[in-house]
Amino acid sequence: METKLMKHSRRSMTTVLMLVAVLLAGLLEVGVFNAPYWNTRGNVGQAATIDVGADLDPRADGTYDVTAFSGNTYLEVTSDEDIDYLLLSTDNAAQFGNETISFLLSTQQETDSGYYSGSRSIHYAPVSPTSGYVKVGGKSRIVKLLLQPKNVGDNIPITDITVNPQVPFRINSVRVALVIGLLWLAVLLRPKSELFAWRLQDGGQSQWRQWVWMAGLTMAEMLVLTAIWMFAGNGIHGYRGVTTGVGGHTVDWDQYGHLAESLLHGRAYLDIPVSDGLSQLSNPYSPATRYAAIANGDGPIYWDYAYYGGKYYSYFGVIPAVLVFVPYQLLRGRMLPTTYVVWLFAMISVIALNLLLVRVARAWFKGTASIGMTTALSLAFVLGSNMLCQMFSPNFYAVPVMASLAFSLTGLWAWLRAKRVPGRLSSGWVALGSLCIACNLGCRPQFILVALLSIPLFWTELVRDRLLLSVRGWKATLAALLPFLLVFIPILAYNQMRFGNPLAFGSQYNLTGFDATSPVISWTSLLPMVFYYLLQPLNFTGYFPFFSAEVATYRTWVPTEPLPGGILMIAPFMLAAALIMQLKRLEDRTPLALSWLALACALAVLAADGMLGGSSWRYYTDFAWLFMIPTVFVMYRIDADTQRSVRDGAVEGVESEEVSRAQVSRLTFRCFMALLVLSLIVQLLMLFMENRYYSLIDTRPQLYFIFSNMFMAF
Amino acid sequence: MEIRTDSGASIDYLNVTVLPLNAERWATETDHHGQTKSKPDVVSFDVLTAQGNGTTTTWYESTAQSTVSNATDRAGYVHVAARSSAVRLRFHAGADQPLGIDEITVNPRIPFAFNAVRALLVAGILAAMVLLRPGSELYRMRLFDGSRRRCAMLAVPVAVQILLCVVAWQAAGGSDSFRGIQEQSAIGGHDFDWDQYANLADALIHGHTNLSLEVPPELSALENPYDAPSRYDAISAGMTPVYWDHAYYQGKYYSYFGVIPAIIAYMPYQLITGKWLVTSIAVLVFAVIVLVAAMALMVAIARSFFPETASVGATVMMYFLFTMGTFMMCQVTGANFYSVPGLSSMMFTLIGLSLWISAKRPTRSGGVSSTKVFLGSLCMACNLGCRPQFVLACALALPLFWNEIVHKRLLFSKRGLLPTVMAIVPFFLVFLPLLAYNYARFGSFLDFGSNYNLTGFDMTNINRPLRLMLPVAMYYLIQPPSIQGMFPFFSSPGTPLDLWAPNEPAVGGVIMLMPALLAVLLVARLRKREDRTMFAVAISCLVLAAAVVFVDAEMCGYSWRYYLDFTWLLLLPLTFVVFSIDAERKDRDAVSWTPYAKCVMTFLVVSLFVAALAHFGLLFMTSRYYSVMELNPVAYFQVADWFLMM
Repeated sequence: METKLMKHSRRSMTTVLMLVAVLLAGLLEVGVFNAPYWNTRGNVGQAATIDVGADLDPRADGTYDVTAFSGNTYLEVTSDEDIDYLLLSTDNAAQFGNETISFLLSTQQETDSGYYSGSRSIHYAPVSPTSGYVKVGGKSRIVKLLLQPKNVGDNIPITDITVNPQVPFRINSVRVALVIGLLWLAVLLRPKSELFAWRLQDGGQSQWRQWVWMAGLTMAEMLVLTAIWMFAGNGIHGYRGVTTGVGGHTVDWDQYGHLAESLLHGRAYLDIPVSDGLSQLSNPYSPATRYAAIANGDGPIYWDYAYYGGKYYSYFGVIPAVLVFVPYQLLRGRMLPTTYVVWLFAMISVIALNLLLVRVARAWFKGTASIGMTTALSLAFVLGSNMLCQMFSPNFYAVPVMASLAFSLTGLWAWLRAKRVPGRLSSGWVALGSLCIACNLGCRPQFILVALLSIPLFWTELVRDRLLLSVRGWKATLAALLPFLLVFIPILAYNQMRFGNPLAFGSQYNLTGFDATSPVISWTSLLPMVFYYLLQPLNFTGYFPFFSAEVATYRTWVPTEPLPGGILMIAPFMLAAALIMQLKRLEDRTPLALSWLALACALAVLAADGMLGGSSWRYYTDFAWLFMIPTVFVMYRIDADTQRSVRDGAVEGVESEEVSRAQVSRLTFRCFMALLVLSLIVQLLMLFMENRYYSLIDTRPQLYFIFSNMFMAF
Repeated sequence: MEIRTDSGASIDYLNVTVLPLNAERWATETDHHGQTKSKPDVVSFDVLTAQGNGTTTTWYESTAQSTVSNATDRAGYVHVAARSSAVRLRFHAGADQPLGIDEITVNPRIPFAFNAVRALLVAGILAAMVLLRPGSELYRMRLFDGSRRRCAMLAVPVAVQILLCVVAWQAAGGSDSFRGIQEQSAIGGHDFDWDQYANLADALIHGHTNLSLEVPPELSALENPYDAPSRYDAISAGMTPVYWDHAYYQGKYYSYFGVIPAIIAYMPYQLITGKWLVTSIAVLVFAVIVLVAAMALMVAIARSFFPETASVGATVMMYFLFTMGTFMMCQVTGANFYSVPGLSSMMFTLIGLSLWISAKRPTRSGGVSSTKVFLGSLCMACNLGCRPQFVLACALALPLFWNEIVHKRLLFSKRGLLPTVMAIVPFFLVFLPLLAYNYARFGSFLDFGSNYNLTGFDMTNINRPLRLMLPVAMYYLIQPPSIQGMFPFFSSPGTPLDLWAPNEPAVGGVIMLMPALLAVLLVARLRKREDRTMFAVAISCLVLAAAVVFVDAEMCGYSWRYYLDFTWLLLLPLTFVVFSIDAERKDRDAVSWTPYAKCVMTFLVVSLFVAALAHFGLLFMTSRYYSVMELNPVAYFQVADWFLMM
């Protein structure tokens, strides 16, 4: 039992640690991150004479054009003092827009007669003058920038090079805020933090403080995801209109808007003109045929649209269109940009996951669940369900999965709420839950497996209390099953209407980079695929952004996109699911059953996704969030264990079993929290990965450089 | 090349027969008997499978290469199985390069092949899983129960480990590799003198410290012979022979590698047999001694610190963790002169530590055993003449004998005069001649000559900025390995650096390859013991490990070979932790562990198998220096065949 004194000392310790964190952040900011300033104090930069490689031609504005790739694509400076820093700069930087140039450093000391080259690409963009500071060192007297332009004819936007400039002192408030934020998170999630002594439910006492905290947490998560959506995902302006994609196909980012428009006009097919060339193709599903047709001028042919019977259809889930796009279009008379819908479902998901967590805590961990563990699990859920990846690319590909996530979480919450009073089942909440879960069929169909979770969830009501599938429980049974019919029948009808087969969702008629009508993925790829999805190690480099996308290699063809690494590597705290047998000690066996079923569903979805769609980062969400189910149960259990104040009075060699169990719990607790914070850092850094699709350095270099410049000292 | 089945049946397997091309035009080697031995031919290609037939066929290409060879009968099989009745092989031969394909058979009947090595290996792994699982009997057997039987059991894991070591060594070419002089085969056209150590021994026998190798006059004439680019230019202009990684000083070649292995192994061999010792065999012998010494160390630690509680299972498990954790497989499977200093230092350090640790057990007279401290110090001192970084191990004497020095006054006291003298004398006995040897060669006692090394950069003018230490240290410690879904599973993760530093193909950080090292964080538990020696030694080890990592990162760059320098400094604390966890039982009869101990032990056992898998993958990695594909392609393809079903 915690005394008031202990509570007070916890709180003051937290305050002290938080103050220490601020101090530490300040010291780091001044001493470490601004080390380049201290190292170059007193320097007076010398404008260098630039020795231009033969592959470059000077332009009137002082920059250079690449005329050949003969191994002489370089700019070189020489000095008679050791070169520690260089400053690359560009006159009239504004006219170069977002141009970026990369290079390797090749250096020569006074005693060398040749060059020694580095192996890390350094980036410079005129839009970010600070990116022009280049660290050299090593007593180099000659520095050659081995430029890495992509094509002949590219421009090298560098006009001047200064040797040994004075790097200015700069307090970067975003950097300070990030450091303080991470340190405070570590302080709040440490084992002795009072967040873990603060119960989610204090018996009969008023819980308004807990609600305020949870509301605040939810809003903070929504804020962070919105920021990622807005900045990294270009949510306000991005993914609209049409662009040209693979093989010259037309990519229509407003696919959902068009679907809504068609639905409003009572049509199941899309009102997009089918070119004569396409309608005349004998096998329009073969990509080679389509590439040839486009090259022949027989386009446009739209990418990732379903094509059947001479018309375009959308094979993406129709429910988001019906619920969101159609009403908006009805009201405003124009198409809703897709990015807002992704944002909407993400916000709903965050609210739903927090509601679900609190509901789970109340249902099975009433006396023990702490605010601290709930907070940690909430963050874990966001990170573990791969939401950051979806917010980074809030396009139509993300709509079905985010909608399904929102529906599944809300549905599970509603179902749990229906069970609130033991021995009774609220038909209203059951109906709502069933309705939400059923909607998965019209969003991302894989998620429909969640419906299976109803079996262990309502087992007691089904078997013991006979509140379902019984005469007594006719209302609840109807409430549970009717919504499925209400939702499934229209969707199956919609399929029938479009493709003549109620079970044809249309993905097999997709115009994409492979012939979707006959799958070509070899079963031998399954094992490597499971490995890549779950356990592929991260690709680490010693420099910002520290992570690089992986290539998944297969002996025969598999559709694959750049991957960050296995889900258990980017969210390693989910390994807590391995402690599933801890749940055997709970009185109610439902969590254990739910956990096993969730793991089984996750593996089934993983295998299905892999064999149908290959390996892609976007698909992680389909199964990753299911791993969170056992994780949540296990960690709430650990939460209960670590709170029991057991004095560590062990005699060497012979420990009481209870003391030891508490030690295991504490160890698991510490590992979980450490891995959680690590995962947060890793996933935030991965936003800046250079070889992912739509990487920031390509699409929004100014934003990229704001963060890469923070690491100038390293 | 395109292959189709007339019947439209799916192509599941192909058998590509590779021609042995003309020996003169294709790769050959002269082996040590002077006979020409032709290397097997290897052909690589991407596999493209198809959908559709008739006029438009779309070809889908793989993202990984397949490789076939004529190294073995089965090395031509390719597993396709992509529901495609047509396959295209896209080769990676350059223009004007001959491509030796004889026949391609579709859906061949692949004969059943019982592979004894594979069967034994699988059986062995399964047996190890059963024997080392947390519930195993072995953890309930005390090591020191009065009978000799338990200790005799320890011979089995040692034998197993030696067997694995020999097999790995043999897979990497065995005694056929790294012999004689390989002309023009190093960077810039330098020659490799693989018998550098034998040369050194020969020189010492004939009474001089410089190697009896011809020094080209152009080398002496160079303004700065240590500058690499000017050496490359001179070699292109005809300067020869210039030997890679030999020390050059004032017109003579020297060896800057530790001289003690030459004295204790190469010189006696030459004096007795009149022939030069083959380095790859010397490496194997040192490795075997290291493997035995590692077990001796385990037993010494168990006996001195955990006599009542150490279990057989924990000793065996920690033994495998130790031997694999040193990553000495790098040295054993690249059995050349680079490996000799590291392995011999490892040998001396392990023997020395075992002797020092067992010296802590009081003798019949109650003091410290003079013989043991003498021999221990002698071994530790020899590190200066092998791989000097290991000399830091001598600093461990202070925390190790703190109790004896300060509390029990058994050393540095009147009572302990003899052991104290015996502890210190060997350092003089060994260091003085070594320092004299330095003086005789380079005119300075502390100059070991490593800066006069003829290598890829000027070692007399190293000015790399300190900031490079940080990424390199990260590559040493925490870089995740690069793993693919098909044999050989492991490849090199990239190790980009913004300025040049010596950089060899990476394998992944030690903590990622052997997660058991994380258990080192539990050293705090050692603090609760009455005798704080282990805690003090453990902390000292960790500090030294950090120092070695950063010094190696700064001076030597990144290489898998240098893992040996610091891993043992992490494994020694791990050993203490493992034995102390082993001791946490539910009751004094050592029946079963406390839940905490069981949890940690489970983690360690799982980590052991992860490390074993990593070792298997790293052995066959093609992007490493001295890969099995290069040294012994037959072995590579034999093992690749094990995974044909994937």
